Amino acid sequence: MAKAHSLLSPVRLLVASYVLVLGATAWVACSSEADPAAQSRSGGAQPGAQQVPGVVLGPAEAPPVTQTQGTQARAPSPSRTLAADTSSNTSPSVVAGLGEGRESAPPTDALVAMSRNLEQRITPPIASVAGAQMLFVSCDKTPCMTRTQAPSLAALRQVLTALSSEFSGQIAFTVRERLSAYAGHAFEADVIVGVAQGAQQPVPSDENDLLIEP
Amino acid sequence: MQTRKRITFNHAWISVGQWVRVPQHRRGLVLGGTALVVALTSSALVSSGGDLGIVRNVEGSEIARIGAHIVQNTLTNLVAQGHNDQALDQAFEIGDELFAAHFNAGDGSGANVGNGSRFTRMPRADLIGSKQWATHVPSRATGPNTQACTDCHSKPADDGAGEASTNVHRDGNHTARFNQMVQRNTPHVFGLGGLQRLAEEMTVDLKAIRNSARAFVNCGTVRAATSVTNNLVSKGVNFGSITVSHDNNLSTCRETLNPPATGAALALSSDLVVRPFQWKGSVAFIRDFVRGAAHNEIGMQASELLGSPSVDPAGVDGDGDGVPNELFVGDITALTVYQADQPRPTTRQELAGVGLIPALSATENSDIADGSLVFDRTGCGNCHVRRLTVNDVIFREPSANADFRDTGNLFPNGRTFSSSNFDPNNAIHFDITQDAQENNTVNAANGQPLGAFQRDSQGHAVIELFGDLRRHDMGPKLAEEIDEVGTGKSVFMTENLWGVGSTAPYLHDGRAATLTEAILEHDGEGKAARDAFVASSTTAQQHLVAFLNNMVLFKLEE
Repeated sequence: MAKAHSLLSPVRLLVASYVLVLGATAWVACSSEADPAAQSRSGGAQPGAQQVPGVVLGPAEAPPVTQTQGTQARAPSPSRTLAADTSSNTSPSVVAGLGEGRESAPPTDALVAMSRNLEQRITPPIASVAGAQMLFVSCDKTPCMTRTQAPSLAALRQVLTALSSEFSGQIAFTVRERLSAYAGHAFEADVIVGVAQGAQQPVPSDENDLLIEP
Repeated sequence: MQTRKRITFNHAWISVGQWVRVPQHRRGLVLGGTALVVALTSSALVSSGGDLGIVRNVEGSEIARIGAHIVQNTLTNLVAQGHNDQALDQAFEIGDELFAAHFNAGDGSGANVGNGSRFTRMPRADLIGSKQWATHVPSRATGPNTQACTDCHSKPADDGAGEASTNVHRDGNHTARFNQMVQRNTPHVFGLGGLQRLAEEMTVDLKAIRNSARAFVNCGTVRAATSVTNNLVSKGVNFGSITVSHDNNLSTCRETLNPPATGAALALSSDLVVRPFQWKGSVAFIRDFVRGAAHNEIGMQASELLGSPSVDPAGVDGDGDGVPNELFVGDITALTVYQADQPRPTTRQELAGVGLIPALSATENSDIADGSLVFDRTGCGNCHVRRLTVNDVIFREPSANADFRDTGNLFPNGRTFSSSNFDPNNAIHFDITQDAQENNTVNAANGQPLGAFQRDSQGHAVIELFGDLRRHDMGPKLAEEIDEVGTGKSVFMTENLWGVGSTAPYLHDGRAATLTEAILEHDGEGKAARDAFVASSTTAQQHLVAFLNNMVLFKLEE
C-alpha cells in the first residue's frame, strides 16, 4: 500500500503531467503548421473524448494554455489534447490556400483589382445621396454586384437612379427592407452593374414599387 | 431520420429556480490541478509580442481553453460525409463552451471604447476618434458591456433570461442623447430551434397566400385593372391581409399589407417574413441574433461581419482592440446550433409529474387549473397563443429557407457562403422532437424526451409558445422615444410566455418586477385583456398568476 501510494505522490504527478502537457503542446504546434483544419478538429468536441465525470474544476483551476501567435494556433485543454482525433478520417479536406488564423482563402490580386476599380466608379454616385452607403462590392461572379444601403426607400431610389445613370441603364437590382436590433431600420439593394442588354432593369418612378418581390 | 447518438449527462438536478449548470470545461479534466502549475510554466516558455500576448500567456485564452476555433469546413465535411451526428455534437459542445466563456483581451473581448475603456454600459457615440466607439465596424449600438453570454443570460441559470441590472442600452442612431436611446431586457434562449422553425413555416404559408393573390389577378400579364385581398393566416394566427392590385393595361401589380384589425399595427413587414427574435420582431434567424450580440454586447466580432470579398476579414480589427478574426464562421455556427438545440421550456406540473421536483399540492394544481380558465376568459390567449405546431420537425443551420439565412448566400461582409464551405445543402440538422442535447435523459409523461418538443399524433412538433409571433401596438404607455426598427414606437412582438415563471422582470425594458405589473402595463391592442384582468376577482387574478408561474425553465445538471 505504501509503495502504491508513493506512485501517486504529488511530485510524480507533477512530472508526469509536465511531460504530457509539453508533449501535447508540441503535438498541437506541429499539427497547427501542417494542417489548419486539424486545429479545429483537435479542439472540437471529440466523440469519445476522455472525460472524468464528477471532477469539478473551478475557474481558478481551469488550466491555462500555451500560445504561439495569432488567434488560432492554440493548444486545446488537456482533456482534448489527449483525446483521440476520431474525426481525422472524416474531414480530409481543407479549403485550399488557407493559412494560420483564417478559415477562408484570401482574395486574389485580380479580384482585389477588379473590386477596387468598381468601388472607385460607384462611390461618387452613392455618396451623392445623403445617408447612403456601399456595404461591399463582390466580383466573385461577373458582372460584379454591389450591396448598398439607404435610410429610406426614396433615398435608395436616388442611389439606384444615380447608378443606372453611371452605367447607362445597364443595372439590375433587388431591394429589401432591413431590420436590425443593433443597426436599426434601412433599405438595401443588391445591384448588379454592367448587365447585358435585355437584362437591365429600369428604376421605377414610385419608390414603393421597389419593394415588390419578384 | 436515423436515431442519433445522445450525449449522456448525469441525472443530478436541482429544483427549479435554483439549478446550477456546471460547464463541462470545469469538469473531468484529466490532469487536474497539477496541470495548472505545469501549463503555467509551459505558457511562460512561449514568447509572444505585445501586451495581448502577455495576457494570453499569463491568463490563457478562452478560445484556447475551448480548444481552438472551430472551422466551418470541418463541420460541413462531417455532414457531407454522412456524419451529421458528429457535426451536431461537436457544434453543440463548442457552442456550449463559447456561450459560457468569459473572454478576455487576448481573445478580443471588449473593444476600444475610447479613453482607455474596454467596456461600457452606456453607448458612447461621443467618442468619434479613430477606432473609438462611434467608428467601429460594423456600426455599434451598445456595449461592449460584458465578457460572456452567460453574464446576461443567467436567470434562473445559464441560457436563461436577465435581471434588470443586465439591461442593455442602445443608441442605434449614434445621437449620444439619452432620450434617443432604448433599453432592452435579456430574454431566455430556450427552445429557439422550434421557434425559428415555426417562423419559417409561417413565412412559407404567408408567401404562398400572397403568390396566390398575384396569380389570381394575373400579375405579369397585361390586363385591365383589378384587385384581390387575401387574408394572411398561418397556423391559425391572423397576420392581417394583403391586397394585390393589378395596374390598368399594364403587367405590373401593387401590393398593400393591411393590419389584422382597425387600429392595430401591421403584424409583420412587407416581405412577409415572420421575424421571431428581438423585442420588436426584427431578427429572423438565430445566427443573425448571435453575431449581433457577440459584437455589440461582448465585443467578440464574427469574421463574417468584417472585411469584404476583396478585403480579407482575417486581417480586419473592426473594434480597434488589437485582435482580428475573433470568431470564425464555424464558431458562429456552433453558437447558433447550441442555442437552436436548447431544451424547450416546461412546467412545474410536468416536472412534478416525472418526479423531478416535489409534487405540487392539490391547492396549487387547482389554482393553476383555474388560472388557465382565467387566461382564456380574459382574452390573454388571443395574442399569447397557447400552442402552435411545426410540420417539418428538422432544424437546419444554415436554414433551407432562404429568408432565414443571409441574403443571396452572402455573409454580411459580402463573402460567399462557399468561401467558408458554409453549405445549405450540407446543413447541420436535428429533429426538434427527438434530438435534444439536454434534458434528454428523462422522459415526459408521454414517453418522449423532456427536453425535446412533444410530437403530436400526426408527427408534428407542438410548440407551447404562448405567443403569436405578431407585432402589436401596445399603446402609449409602452411607447419608446424612438422608433428602433421602423415598426412604430409602441409596437412590439407578443412576448412568448413559455418559461415566464422563471424570467422576471418583464417587458422589453424589465420595468415590471412581477407578472401582475406586466399585465397592468398592457394597453393598445392589449387593453381589453388588461381591463378584463382588472375586472376579475383578486382570487382569479392570483390564479392567473399561478398559471403563468407554472411555466418555467429547467435543465438537468450536465
